[in-house]
Amino acid sequence: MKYFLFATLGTLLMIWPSSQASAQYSTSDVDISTYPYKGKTYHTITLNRSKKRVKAKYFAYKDGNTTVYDRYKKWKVGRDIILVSSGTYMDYYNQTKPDGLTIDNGIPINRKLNDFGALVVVYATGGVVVADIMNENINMRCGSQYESFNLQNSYERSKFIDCAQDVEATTFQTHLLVFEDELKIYSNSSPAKRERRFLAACYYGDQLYHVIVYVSEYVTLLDATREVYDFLKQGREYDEVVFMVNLDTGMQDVFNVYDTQGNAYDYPKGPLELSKAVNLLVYYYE
Amino acid sequence: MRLTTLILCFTTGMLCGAWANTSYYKVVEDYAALQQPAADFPYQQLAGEIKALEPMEANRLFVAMDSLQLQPGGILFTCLTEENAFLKDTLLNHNELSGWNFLIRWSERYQNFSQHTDNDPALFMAVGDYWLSMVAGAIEDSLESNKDLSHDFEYQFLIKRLDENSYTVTRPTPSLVEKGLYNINRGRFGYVLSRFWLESPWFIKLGLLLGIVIVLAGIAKIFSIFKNLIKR
Repeated sequence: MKYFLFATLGTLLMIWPSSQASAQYSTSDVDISTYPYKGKTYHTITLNRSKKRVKAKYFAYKDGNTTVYDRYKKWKVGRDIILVSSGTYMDYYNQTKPDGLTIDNGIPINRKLNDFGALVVVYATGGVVVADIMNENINMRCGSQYESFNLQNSYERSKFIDCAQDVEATTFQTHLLVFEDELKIYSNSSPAKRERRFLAACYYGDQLYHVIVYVSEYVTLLDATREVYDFLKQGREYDEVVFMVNLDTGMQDVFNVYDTQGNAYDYPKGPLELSKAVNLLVYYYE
Repeated sequence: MRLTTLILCFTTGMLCGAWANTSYYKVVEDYAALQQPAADFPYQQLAGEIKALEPMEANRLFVAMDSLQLQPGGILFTCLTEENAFLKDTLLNHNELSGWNFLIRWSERYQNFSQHTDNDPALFMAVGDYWLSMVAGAIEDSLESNKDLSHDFEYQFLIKRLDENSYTVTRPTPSLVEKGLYNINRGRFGYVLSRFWLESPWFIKLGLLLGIVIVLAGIAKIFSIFKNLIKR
C-alpha cells in the first residue's frame, strides 16, 4: 500500500510540470488588453522586448512526418507560452508549404523569393529582425560578425541561406505594412475583407515592444493597416512603429493567447484548433 | 583582359548565332576553356545538349549566357544583380514547357556541382537559383493569366519538379466555390459554415435559413403522409 502511494505521488509529480508547462509570465512584461478606438475594437498583446525575457520561436514547416503541432508540443515542455499564432501564407494547392523565402532552423524550405516586402528572421536565441528586402539589404549575424545581403541578388541570397544554415536561423516572408514609421502598402493591395492580425514592433521611449494587434471586424488589408497604424501612433502613443507585418488569418487561422497560469483565453482566439497549424509563431517567457 | 575576351566571345557568339546553330555551342566551349577554376564543370556535356536542342533558340541563348555568368565580377555577374529585361521577356514569350524543364534540369546540375567544388560554391548555387527562380516566376505569371493551367498535367509536373528543389510556385487564390469544395472534401464542415456565415450578405443567410425550414417542413410532411398511409 505504501509503495502504491509513493508510486501515485511520483506519477503525479511527473505529470504536474508538463500539464502546467504553459504557465507564469510577468504581467509587467506582457499586457493583454482590448481598446475601443474610432469605432473599432483592437485586441492587443503587448510584449516588452527590452528586458529580453520575452522571446520568439517560429515553426515554419513540418519536420518529415512530424507535424508543426507535434514539433511545438515537444518544444514547449518547460517553457512558459504567452501566445501562438499562424505566421505566413501557404500555397493553397500544396497545403503546408509556405509562400516566399522560408528557412526553418537553417533548413531551406522554400528558396523562392516573393515580393511580399518583409523578411522576418527569428534567431535561435529568440530574437526577431524584420527587413524591408525590396529596398534595403538585410543584416544578419553570421558567426561573430554581422553581414549585409541584398536578397534580390541570387548570389547574395545563396550566401544568406548559407549564413542562415550556420546560425540555425528561421526566416519567413510576409507583407510589410509599415517600416520605420512609413506605410509600405498601397491602394493596389487585395480588396478582400476579413479579420486581421498584425505583428508590430514599437518604441516607447527607449523600450521596445512587440505588439500583436487583432481586429475582429472585416476590413481590407489597406484599411486595416492605416487604422492600426493610427491606433498605435495616436491611440497608444508609441514614439515609433519600427515595423508592422501581416500574420495570416486565412485557412490556417490559429491564434491562442494564454493567461499567467497557462490557460488559453476564450477570446481573442482563432477559429482553427492549434493541432491544425501549418506554421506557428510563438512568443514565450524565459 | 579576361573580361574583354569574354565580352568578345559572347558578342561573337550572339552575332554568329543568327547564322549558325552551333555558335552558342562554341560560346560554351570557349567559356569552358577560359573558366579554369571551374573547368571540371561538365561544360562539354552542356554544350552537347545545347547542340542537340532543336529549335529552341531562346534556351540556347539562355544557357550560353548562363554559362558566361559564372565569371565573378563580369557582365554576367551583373545579370544576377539586376533584372535582365531581355532575358525575362524572352523567357516569358517563349512559353515552352520543355524549355523550362531543360532549365530546371541544368539548374539542378549547377546546384549539385556547388556541393562538390571549393571554388565559390555559392556562385554555382546562385546560377541555379537564378534560373529556378525565373522559371518559377514565369510559371506563376502563366497561371495568373490562365488559372485553368493549374490543372494541366505538364504544369503540375514542372511545379512538382520545382518543389523538389525547394522552389514553391505560388498559385493564384482559387475561387470561393473551389475553396468550399476543397474544405468539404476534407470534412471541414464547421469551418465552411462559419466562413459562409461571416462572409455572406444578410439576404443569402435569410435565403439559406428559409431553405432549411422548407426542407425540414417537406421532410416532416412526407413523414406524416407515410405515417398516415401505414396507419390505414
